[in-house]
Amino acid sequence: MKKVCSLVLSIVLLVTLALPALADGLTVGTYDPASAGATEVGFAWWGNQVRDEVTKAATDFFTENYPNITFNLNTNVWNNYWALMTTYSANHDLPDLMQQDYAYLELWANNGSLLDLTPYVESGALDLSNVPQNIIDTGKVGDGIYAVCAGVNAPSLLYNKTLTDKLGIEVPKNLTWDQFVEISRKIYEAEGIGAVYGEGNSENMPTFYARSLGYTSLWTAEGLAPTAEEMAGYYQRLIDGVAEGWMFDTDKIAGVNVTDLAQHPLVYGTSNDVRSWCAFAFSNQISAFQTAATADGIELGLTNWASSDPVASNYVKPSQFFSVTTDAENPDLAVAILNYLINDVEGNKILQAERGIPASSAVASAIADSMDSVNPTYSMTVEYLEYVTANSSPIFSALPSFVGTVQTEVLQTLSEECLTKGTSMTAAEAAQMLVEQTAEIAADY
Amino acid sequence: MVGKSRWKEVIYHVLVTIGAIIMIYPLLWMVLSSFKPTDQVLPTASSLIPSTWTLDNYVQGWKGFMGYTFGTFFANSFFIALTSTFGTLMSSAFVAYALKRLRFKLRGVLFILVLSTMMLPAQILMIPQFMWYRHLNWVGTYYPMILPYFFAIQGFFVYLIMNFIGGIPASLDEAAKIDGCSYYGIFFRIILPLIVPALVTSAIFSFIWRWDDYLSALLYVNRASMRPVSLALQLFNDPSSGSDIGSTLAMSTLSIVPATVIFLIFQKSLVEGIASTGIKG
Amino acid sequence: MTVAPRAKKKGFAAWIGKESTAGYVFSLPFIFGFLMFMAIPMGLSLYYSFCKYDIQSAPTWIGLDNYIKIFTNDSTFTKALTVTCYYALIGTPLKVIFALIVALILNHESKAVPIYRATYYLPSIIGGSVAVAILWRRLFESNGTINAIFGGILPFLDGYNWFSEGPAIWVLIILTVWQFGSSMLIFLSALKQIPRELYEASRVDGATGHQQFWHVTLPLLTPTIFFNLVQQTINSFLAFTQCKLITNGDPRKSTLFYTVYQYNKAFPAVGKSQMGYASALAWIMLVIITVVTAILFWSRSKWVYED
Repeated sequence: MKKVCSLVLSIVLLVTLALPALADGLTVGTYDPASAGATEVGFAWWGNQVRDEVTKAATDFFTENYPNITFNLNTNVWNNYWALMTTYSANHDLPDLMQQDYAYLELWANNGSLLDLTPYVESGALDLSNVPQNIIDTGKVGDGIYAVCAGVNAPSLLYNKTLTDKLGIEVPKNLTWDQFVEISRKIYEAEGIGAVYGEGNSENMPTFYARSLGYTSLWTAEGLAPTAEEMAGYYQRLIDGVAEGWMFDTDKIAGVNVTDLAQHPLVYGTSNDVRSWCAFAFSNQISAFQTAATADGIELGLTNWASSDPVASNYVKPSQFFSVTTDAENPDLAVAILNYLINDVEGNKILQAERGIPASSAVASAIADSMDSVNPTYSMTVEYLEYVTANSSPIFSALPSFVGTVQTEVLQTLSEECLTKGTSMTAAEAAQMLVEQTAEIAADY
Repeated sequence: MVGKSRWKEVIYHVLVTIGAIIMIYPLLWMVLSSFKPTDQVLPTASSLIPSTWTLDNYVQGWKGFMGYTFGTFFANSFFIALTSTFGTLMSSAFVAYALKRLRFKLRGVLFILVLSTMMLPAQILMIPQFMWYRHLNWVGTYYPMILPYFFAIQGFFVYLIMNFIGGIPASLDEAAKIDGCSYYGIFFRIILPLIVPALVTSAIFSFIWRWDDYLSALLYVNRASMRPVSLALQLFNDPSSGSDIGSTLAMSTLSIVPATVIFLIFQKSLVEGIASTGIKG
Repeated sequence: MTVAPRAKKKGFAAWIGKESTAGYVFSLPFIFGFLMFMAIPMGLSLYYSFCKYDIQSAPTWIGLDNYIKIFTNDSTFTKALTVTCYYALIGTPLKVIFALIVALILNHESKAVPIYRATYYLPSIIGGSVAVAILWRRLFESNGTINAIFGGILPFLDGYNWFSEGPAIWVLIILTVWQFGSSMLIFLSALKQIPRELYEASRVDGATGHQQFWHVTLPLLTPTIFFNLVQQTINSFLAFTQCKLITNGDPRKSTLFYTVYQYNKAFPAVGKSQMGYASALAWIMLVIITVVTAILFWSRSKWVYED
């Protein structure tokens, strides 16, 4: 009896396993893209060279299977990407599929640019059955699902392991801020190589800092969560680091290109004084960084961003989302392609998990074996993510709409000011301005 | 006495030549470095002549990105620059003829407006025009980069051609009128053939300016297949090519070839055109 | 018998054949183009400058708020304006002086002069291209060509960071001065038009070369200098592409040109567009340019030689 049972079970298993293979074409859900006729689908993302190549290859593979579907691909660096998408959206000319970010999801969903995917999930056109519920929830705004996680990542400090090994420095897990400062000083004294920290308009670093103080998010609906007194500690770090010399100051950052991974001082630069021993990045970016670093014979390592309380600060997050826009001419087709990007095993092999570990657990395990050869950093990333999952706190909810403006108009100005050598601004003043100006912008949004 | 002035002459030429080399050194550097192996460009930045010559950068760069080669981008640039230049020439010649040769009530007002368009450059109009073209549903098309030029919106060209028409004896018009030629006939049979030199000068400037136009491409082009060279080059330099300085320089070099060649061929009419009206550069 | 008298034509044919009709017909492209591509956009932007407008939702009327905020509570506006004025007030005279000096040198009888002229002019022809912006960034990088060449002579240039606060604006000024070619050509043609008799007369009066320059050449060139100053000043106020591509305003807004600031307000990297605010900025710039031009014209009578 038991034998029969297990036989039946294995047959059932065999059949279910065999089903996707028997089905015609790719994993696209219930809509058949072949029925769409000759159609061009717009697809835009921000990225880097590796991402551009693998995404192009994945769409080419789709076109091979459905020759009637062609793609209008649009890629840009982060900064240009959002500016361009804003202009397209004003003209109701957004691409059918767009890459979305956790920080701006709410803004874009609220202004009506994104399609609510709930009906498609309910009808089965979009299969999210293998995506964990907490990951699905990250794409929700209110009750609607406006985005599907393209991959999972976590903040991670990428560092020049070749260099630290040479100097006999061990970069620990659960790296604390004091340890980070200690290591940076040592490397600076020995080699003259500095560290890029707190660059530009990023809200990530102050958020990480605020979380170490026990806040979940840096923001509230009305402005900033921490008080000015609390945020002063953050700016003090910038002022001290620059005074000690190892932290890249504003002038030095202006001389290098920190927005383009391939030219980041971690992996690019001919002399030590324009090099950084680390980059405050995200775990999925290691594959692009490593690609650029290999030319210089650098091996990269990764740990968490330095924080006085790493477990409170760290989090696992959707690295980016895919959204279907309301400008899509054939939403059914766009959803089918989205389904392909999320659930198709072959497609995800081509995508090389460059956007982070696939959100679908089925896909993640199916591609694991083949990843090592194409993406040497894959197993390292998986291991790191497992570690972070066990040593982190829940992620903040989607950022309020006003954050983008605060970034360009307040955060950037203040961090540049505090990172200026011999700045006249005190940390307390910077923090005070941050709190006041954020509240002002939030009130006016 | 003769010897002394000859020496002066030699020193003069040496100094002026050195100045000229300094002036075009950056360009020479770009052109010659594009033939260096890409990993040699920065380490040998101080030497001009490559120790090994290679075309790899051109082969690599020409591939472009996202499945479009620089061939596509060049074709786009030629299309935009040629059509808009054609429009500029025709419309500017019409308007110049009216303002210079025909008497009508609003002539003075129109002339002032033409001059005012010279003072009202693209950077100020950028945002207003963007919003207006958005209303017209022109974003994402080439229309904003081509159509306006068919309506003589660059006062500079009208002004340049007007000056030239001013040099054509009015007695020619009178003679034609007596022969029964209409004002339209005068333009097409008498004026148009005579203003060809001014049209050539205008064509060169218009072509080069349209070719370099990066701002409108940035605002209005939203698909990779439609990018002109200026925009493609900027994107090429930004994310995708990373530190591949060699192919960036190679494509930069190619992008200035049309302007340089035209300049060298039509140098003389350009110099005269500029001297007679004076313009920005 | 041959010439049909015009008066005999009737109706449409007579009307269309009239000189004034022909004038309007030939002007039509401009009339239409001006209304369609200049007047309407300007009108629209004037309206939007009184609105809060993020281009994704409808504009809301807020009266003078944008203007009030710009003048009372926008330190970036002040900064951008200062940077732009600095660039214009230093770059323009340098450029014009350079152009004048080179024109005087090239105003010389020799077969080689057209070649020199072309070489000095070439940078102006291609200076506005993206290629040159890319090139410029490379030239001034800390490990770039400029430092590599001059590092040997001037040791402090070894690894010198041109893009730090202070020198960064000079990278852009050098770029604009480098393109003195078109001003130079205008000077050259003006020099050719100075009657020889004037020089001969002054020589008879015993004037030296120096005196000739100060008392004959320079006064006669003042109208040309004036013209170049006006044109180049306006251009400096509106420089955009090269700043956007080379420094994008960094570091600490020390190279933030007004036009780039305006662009960033309209199309920010992240966050909502502030199109209304950007429109107000555009109108303020227009007023500033008008005032600057008016001042230059007012100053004309003080130093420009008129005959």
